[in-house]
Amino acid sequence: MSDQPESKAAGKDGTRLPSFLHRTDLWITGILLVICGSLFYETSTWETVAPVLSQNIPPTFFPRLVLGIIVFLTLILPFESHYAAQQGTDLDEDRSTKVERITYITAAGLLFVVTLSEWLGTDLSMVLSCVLLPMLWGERRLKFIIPFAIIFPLAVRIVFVEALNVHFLPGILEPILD
Amino acid sequence: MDPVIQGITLILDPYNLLLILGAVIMGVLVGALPGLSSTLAVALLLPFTLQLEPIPAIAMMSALYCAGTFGGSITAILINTPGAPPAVATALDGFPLAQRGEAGRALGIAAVSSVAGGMFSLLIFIVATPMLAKIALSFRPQEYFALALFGLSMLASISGKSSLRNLIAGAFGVLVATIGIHETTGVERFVFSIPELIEGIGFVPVLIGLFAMAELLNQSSKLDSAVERVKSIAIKLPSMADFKLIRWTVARSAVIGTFIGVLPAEGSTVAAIIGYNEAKRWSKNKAEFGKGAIEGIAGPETANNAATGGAMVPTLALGIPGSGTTAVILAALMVHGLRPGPYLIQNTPHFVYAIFTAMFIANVLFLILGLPGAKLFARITLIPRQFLWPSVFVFSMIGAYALNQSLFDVWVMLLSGVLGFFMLRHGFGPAPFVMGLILGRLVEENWSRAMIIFDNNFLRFFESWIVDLFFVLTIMGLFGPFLFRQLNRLMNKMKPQGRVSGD
Repeated sequence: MSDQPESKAAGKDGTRLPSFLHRTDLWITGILLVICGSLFYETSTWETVAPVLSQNIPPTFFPRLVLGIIVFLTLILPFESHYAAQQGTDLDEDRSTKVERITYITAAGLLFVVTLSEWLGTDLSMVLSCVLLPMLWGERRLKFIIPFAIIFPLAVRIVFVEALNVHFLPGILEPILD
Repeated sequence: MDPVIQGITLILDPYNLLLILGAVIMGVLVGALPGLSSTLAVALLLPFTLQLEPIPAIAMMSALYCAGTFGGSITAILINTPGAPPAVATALDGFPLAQRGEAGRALGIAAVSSVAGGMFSLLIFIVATPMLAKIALSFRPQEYFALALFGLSMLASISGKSSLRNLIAGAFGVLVATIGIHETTGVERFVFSIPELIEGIGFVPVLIGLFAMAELLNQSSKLDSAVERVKSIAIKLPSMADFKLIRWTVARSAVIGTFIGVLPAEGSTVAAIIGYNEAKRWSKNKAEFGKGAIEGIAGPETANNAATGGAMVPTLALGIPGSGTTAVILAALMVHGLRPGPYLIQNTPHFVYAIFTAMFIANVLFLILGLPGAKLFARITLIPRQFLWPSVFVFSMIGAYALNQSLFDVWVMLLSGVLGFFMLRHGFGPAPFVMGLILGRLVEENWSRAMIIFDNNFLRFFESWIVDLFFVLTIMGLFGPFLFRQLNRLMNKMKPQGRVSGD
């Protein structure tokens, strides 16, 4: 269940509706408005172009129009859950449980691999991914991990480098690959 | 040479046939794997096609699209885990039927219905695409602007729980499309002194990130989930009695699926759900639904495959994606240097016939491979997630890198993935974002051109009846779902008290 406060009104199936103002959506609204505000400010830093050159369509017009539409739609967001619940739609279903620790760890693992990829080179980055991710996800059987970390990157290399002519970053393997 | 013969001959080349066969096998396998959708697979396939000619490349993707949509039904029926969203409705009756020991019959119904839906939609595709392209040849920038706006408005009714969130995600996609140099003035917009952003954000890394990386993060929390399996018996074709029972459901769902596919932004999932609901509404055995009704399998399976051919119509004829997967195919066309739309059909008429042939062959192939191979395909779910998803990550990393051979694109992919994960969690789907990203450029370019032609007089847009029509459709697309709900509520209120509403 969500930790949202509930209103006294009942939905279609008789269950209590989420409060008129949804707390999580209020946060999202705040974040989106800050993003839109920053982007709007960014548009004010762009070069100004004489109307004759821009043919009366300044480069800021369209992005500002889209930002305005996003702001308008975002302002409705905190009230949406209440009305959706009245129609029998639970917008909190997918976010009712917290993001698990393993998800953050996985994201950090991916970030780690991509950060190191320029230094390691593409081949070793693939090997690192094939070792790190299964281990992060609880796999401990080296008899599976080691062949996987050798065969799979090798197969990918053959397809992309030999067949598709993609240049892989050599990284620290440069002396060997040369 | 006649474009029909040219298109067919091109696909019947043994090398291209082999590519299509590979795409079909990959499509069924990917479709069968929970979490891996055909959209994701098409996005991951894109970098592999870079060295191919555009037609075989798009033919492969289209074949994968058809096969992937069918593949989802295998695991939906055998292990109650839809491999892809369009197969969600198939599981409702497919799995109960399989539990009764009739897995073979359920798979047979799914395969035959899928082929029937796919073939019907291909007929519409081959007739409607050149016709629509011919009409679209007369479109000027104002008509294109109105058409793209209509495409965006359809995000309000795309699958997902919230029209509002779809529209916000779509609008953000449009905003991301404005990154880079402004066409008219040459001003750099949202570049933030990053040289790689001057050319704009690439479609490929964003697509891979939103579809593959976001799902990878989503799967990280499902490592312990177990699947319930049924013992699969030999797969068999439906009997004559089965055919008799499902024939009208198949016919109805084929029309529904194709129509929904043709609508911009609507895809196989919406088609499958409507196909299921309509099958139930018209059925004489309503009570059987949810317990293993074969019409409950035929309805969604016919509709979701019919949507594939339907979705290709606006994609190729107008350059407006008919679904999330065709949005990726559209991006692939652009990556291959083609500009989708009427001029593509006018200049290379054999293109449509080649894609038609490829999709036709794909439908035949997945029937041939799907029936005897279903048990084998279902075994792909035995691959441990601990090895499957790291492989997806490697493919995503290399796929994002391969197009421009740039690490910046890998960062874009990763960032899109993390963003996509949180977006999905809070109800903002990746498909509306991608639609916005693709249609954004079309909207702005044509709006600017039209305004220059009209000397900045917006009212002149209304001089064209086509623009007026699209504006009306846009308003209906935006407010239609809301108005229909209100109408429904009003109708329910007007019903006499004590009467139980039906389906």
